[in-house]
Amino acid sequence: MSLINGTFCFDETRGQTSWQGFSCDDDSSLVDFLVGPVSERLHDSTAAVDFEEDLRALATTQFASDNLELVLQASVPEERDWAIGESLAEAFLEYEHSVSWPWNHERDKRNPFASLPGADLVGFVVDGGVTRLALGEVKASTDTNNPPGVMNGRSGMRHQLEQLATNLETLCQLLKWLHPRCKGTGNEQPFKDAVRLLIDSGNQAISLYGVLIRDTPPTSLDLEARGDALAKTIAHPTSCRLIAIYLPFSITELPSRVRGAA
Amino acid sequence: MSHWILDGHADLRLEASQIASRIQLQAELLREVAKPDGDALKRVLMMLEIAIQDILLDSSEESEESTRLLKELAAEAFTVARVIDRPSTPIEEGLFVLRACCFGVLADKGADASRWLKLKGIPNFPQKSDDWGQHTWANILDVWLRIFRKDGWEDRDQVLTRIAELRDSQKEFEEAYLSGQESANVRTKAIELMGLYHLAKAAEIFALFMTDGVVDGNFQVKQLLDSHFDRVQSVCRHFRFEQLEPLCRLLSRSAAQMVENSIWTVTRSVNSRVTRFVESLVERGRGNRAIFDVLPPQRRALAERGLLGSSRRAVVVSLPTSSGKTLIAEFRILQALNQFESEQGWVAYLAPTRTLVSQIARQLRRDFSPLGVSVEQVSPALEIDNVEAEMLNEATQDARFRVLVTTPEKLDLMLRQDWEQKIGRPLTLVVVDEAHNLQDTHRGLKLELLLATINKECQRAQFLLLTPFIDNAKEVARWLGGQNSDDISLSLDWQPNDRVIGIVQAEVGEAINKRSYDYNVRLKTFHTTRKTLAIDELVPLAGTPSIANTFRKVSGQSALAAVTAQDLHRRGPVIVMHSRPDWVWSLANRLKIEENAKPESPKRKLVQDFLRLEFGDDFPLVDLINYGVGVHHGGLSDDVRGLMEWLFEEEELSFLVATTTIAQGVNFPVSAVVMASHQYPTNTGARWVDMSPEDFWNIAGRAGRVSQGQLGVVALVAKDEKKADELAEFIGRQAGALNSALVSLALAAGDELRDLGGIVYRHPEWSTFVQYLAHTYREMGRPETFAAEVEQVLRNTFGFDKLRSQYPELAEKLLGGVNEYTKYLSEPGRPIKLVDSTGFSLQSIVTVLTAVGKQKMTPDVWDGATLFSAGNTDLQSMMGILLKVPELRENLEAVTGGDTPDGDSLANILKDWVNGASVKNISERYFLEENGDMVDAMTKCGRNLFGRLTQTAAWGIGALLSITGGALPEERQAELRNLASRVFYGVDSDAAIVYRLLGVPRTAATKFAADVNRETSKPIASTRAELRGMSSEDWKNVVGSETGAIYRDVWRVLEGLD
Repeated sequence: MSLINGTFCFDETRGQTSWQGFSCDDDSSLVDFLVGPVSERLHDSTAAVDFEEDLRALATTQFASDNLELVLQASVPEERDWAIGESLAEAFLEYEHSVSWPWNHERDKRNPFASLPGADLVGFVVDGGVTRLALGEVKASTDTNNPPGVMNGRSGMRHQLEQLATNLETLCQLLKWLHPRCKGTGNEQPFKDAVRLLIDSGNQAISLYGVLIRDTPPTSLDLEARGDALAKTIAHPTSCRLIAIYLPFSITELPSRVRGAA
Repeated sequence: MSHWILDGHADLRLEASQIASRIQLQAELLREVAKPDGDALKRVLMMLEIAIQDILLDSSEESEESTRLLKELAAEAFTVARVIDRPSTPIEEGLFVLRACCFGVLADKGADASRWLKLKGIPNFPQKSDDWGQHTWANILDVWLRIFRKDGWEDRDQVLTRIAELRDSQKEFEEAYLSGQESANVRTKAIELMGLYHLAKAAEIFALFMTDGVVDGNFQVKQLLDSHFDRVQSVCRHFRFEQLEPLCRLLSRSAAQMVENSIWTVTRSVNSRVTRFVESLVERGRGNRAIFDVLPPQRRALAERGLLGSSRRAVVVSLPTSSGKTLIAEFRILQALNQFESEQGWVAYLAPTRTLVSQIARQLRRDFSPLGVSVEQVSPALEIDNVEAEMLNEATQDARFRVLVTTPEKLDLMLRQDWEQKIGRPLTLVVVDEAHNLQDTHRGLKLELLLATINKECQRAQFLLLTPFIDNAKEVARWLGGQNSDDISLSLDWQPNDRVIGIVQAEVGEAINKRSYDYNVRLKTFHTTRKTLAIDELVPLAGTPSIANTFRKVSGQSALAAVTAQDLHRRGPVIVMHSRPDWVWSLANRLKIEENAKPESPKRKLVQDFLRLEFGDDFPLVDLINYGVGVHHGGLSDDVRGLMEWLFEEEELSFLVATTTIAQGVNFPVSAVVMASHQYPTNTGARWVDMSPEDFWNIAGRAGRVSQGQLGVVALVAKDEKKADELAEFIGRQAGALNSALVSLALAAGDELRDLGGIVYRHPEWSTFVQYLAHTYREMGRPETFAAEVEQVLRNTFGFDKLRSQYPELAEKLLGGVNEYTKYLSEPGRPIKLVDSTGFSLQSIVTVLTAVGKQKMTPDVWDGATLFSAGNTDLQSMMGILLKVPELRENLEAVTGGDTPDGDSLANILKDWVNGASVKNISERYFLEENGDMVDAMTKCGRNLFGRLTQTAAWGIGALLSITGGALPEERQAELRNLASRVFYGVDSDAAIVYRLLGVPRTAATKFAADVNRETSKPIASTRAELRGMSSEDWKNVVGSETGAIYRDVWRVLEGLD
């Protein structure tokens, strides 16, 4: 571990699926990580975007702009609790698993009317010398049950990961959106490589990541049952890695920790 | 060029295309569709979608190659998307369908996308949802789908209404929607709404543009639309709108393409007449017949290739059947009229058959009447009678014809008789429909030499040749226009609809009893040069026991064709073809089965009433109509054939059983074509000749009702393996380069070419060529140097150069023959002028003159009052003379059986015909053999009367009058000019000719002529207007209380009024 000190408290592999737990040490490395890479990701670039001109242009549609103007001119909340978990996961995957992110996902939310479950995180990972598409789902839970409730049900992690592995429409939608964000940038080649690999593999070559953020005592029970179930459905060349990150403080403290408060 | 994402996936794409074809075939031909295994379709669609988005992202680097690739990939995506299961929720479904429609438009298949939407409907969106976001999305998807569908003015009006409503509802719902959002989401939602409002505005702009061609005074609609699409992209930039952003990119490009396809864009700033024409096309009843878009070939011809903007003298438009060649011609006609407005130039529209002449005249008249452009047709009878002469000479501005529809033969004779001068206005454009007939061995040379003559002699003349695909359109265009020519060919990469071509065979089924077996019918599909759909497995068709209940009974061409047609007719009207009229009747009878019985309908009853009046109650077609079966062959009159086509187009008939010759003259769509034969009968040694690839593709091109996006099915029936092999070879044949008939005639003539005088007697088809020499000689003022210049003259033809390059020896022989013939022409006293006034070769004229001399025929014979009366024998003598004329001989001999040329019976038939005898009477008298069948007799009579005798005899009599009546005073000659038309139309008065020319059925025309209250000397356009204005009562008063209403309704149908 290069950035955060801590210990891997469990690590198991079954078929194409593996699950591991990482228990963070309560030391400066975690503080640096939170106020550094995690906080940077949280910076909302759209807060600075000026919608003045867009609002003015709206007049040409003869739709009213007053309600929209009120919303867009209101100040943006400085930190968004909902986003911190994803930022943490993203930074963790980047440093721990060399996943690269062509787009800061925390700047926006997905299309509100996409009824298909999209991925929280979309990026690339180099595995065995080839670039693969990396898709991630993130959950944070203080639930004392093991596994926590967020792992179960239709909106639970397991179901979402399975959807990502099998639902072509979701994947296609995601790629069409990601495409212009890579084109003409350093990510163009990774995009092409990953998409080609994906297609050549019959849409199977994807690396799935499920990140669970916890403030409860580490236990493999958090991931084992779901990992086991996923191992039965995820087949080569798809791979799936579940990661539980155990924080040494309460999840509710995350916003203030990111701000640098002790 | 390929795309990186698709490299190495050719097999998968092929698999997907096979699956798509299979689903389409199953959906159209079978009762159920088998779900495909695997996810090839979805995988391929995903690849294609990403590739398409990639090309769109590169739009700044747009190149011809990338545009072509985009079109190809979009076409593939559209084909796949059409057969994939749609998502289950309305919004998701709407998004999917809208993307598919974009692919359609980008693939130049916008018309298919529109029809697909019409067929499948627009999803039922939650347009009144309380959730404003969903409410807005629902309406945006709905209005954009309507813009792609363009179902008449209704869709356009709905777009405007919905967007107006959306603006109103915004006040009601938007605030609550935004304030109900979690604070983290509210900005995203607000931004998304902004994007959607711009899409709404863009839709509104497009809807206005569709009908007006301009939005708020701005003609630059693409820029206007772009400003809104760009704004959507701008607000999407910082957000993750997985749907909105790629969709907007796709919509933006598709909308731009639709602007390009718009009839407004294509015809913008040509001239005010064209603009008025477009207005009338768009306005058209504000119903769903309104035309908003042009088809890709039309766009290519009119806009991209600048057919309207240029001054190119000769253009060959070589396009597949059903790609809207007539509309292209209409625009070009208006352009030509405008170009020579001050001279009041006129346009000749040439069509090969009588039926097509009437159809085209009807259509042009309907389309041009709002513009005040007068369209007339002249009959294919070769003589210009007084009625036509008056019409052609009409000088009043309003009644003056501007477009003349006729056959090449008639125009040829008109021009040779100096009608361009007599009309006093220049011929400015010649439109040649079905111009591939240039290579027809019987009539092609006439057309070629006509065009060569016009090109040489008519100063203002320009040319527009319309043909199905030919390889050498450029060459043909250059022949007429030199540098100043163009060819617009679009065929192999664009088809108006999907089509499947296959061979049907019956297989032995299970044993029914010891001697009989059941059967299965199977269609084997074929890949062809025209991108027809084909799948590996055989397509099963249903058998019909009431047509054939055993394998043995289905094992003939006719029975198998009937069974095939019976299965295919579930999908819509079917044309069934056989080669001979008698076989057509018997095939039609096979379809007279209980399952096909139809209830009485007013339209069918009208035709049945008419048939009873004309042919008697027991005419079999009357009863066949009760079963939805129509018959169409040369043994029926033009009126009956016209009515059959009408009933069929109106879907009052399920089957039209026709002779193969229908392939040359159909211009209405059908769902399927079933061919019991692919051949034409001939009069030569070989009894059968294969239909040409051009004719085959012409009729194949009619299969599939394009307006309904239907798969066209062409089924060729094979009773055994030998036939199947023969048909497979036939299907594989390709239409090649258009060749001059001169080349094939020269090849056939060989050494005989040295004697062009003699050749005419043995091969009358050479008459045209020697007449061309005579005409040119006369036109050039009979120069002594003609022999030296003749090579130059021959160069005006299309064929001579080809002959010289392909067969130099033959060309030499021909030149030698021409030189000899020139000597013959220049001998003193040759009546060369008569060549132009008769349409006979000099040899024939000499023959006639000799015979006239022998018979001591004097000009006194020319008396309209007595020529057709019973006791008079002059007509017999005339027929005797005409039977010696090579140009007429074949047709005249065929009428009476040929072995013993019989001027007497020809004259008697003509007299009966002119004096009003019914076809039934004439059949009984002259064509019914002892113990023969009355229907056979009537068919034979019809074929001879309509197909040969009336036209040939009228021509002969007109020519004979020119040859022998020269001594008569001009006034008398003028009076007598109508005699030929009496023969042509079968009426006994000049007044009746007017009504026949106006399309009034023969019986009724005679009654009108006899009506003392009619004024017959007014312009033909006024008489037409008067007829149109007459009520059923008026017709009853003139024609008869029992029949007047029937004839009126039939006439109105044939005129295209009802």
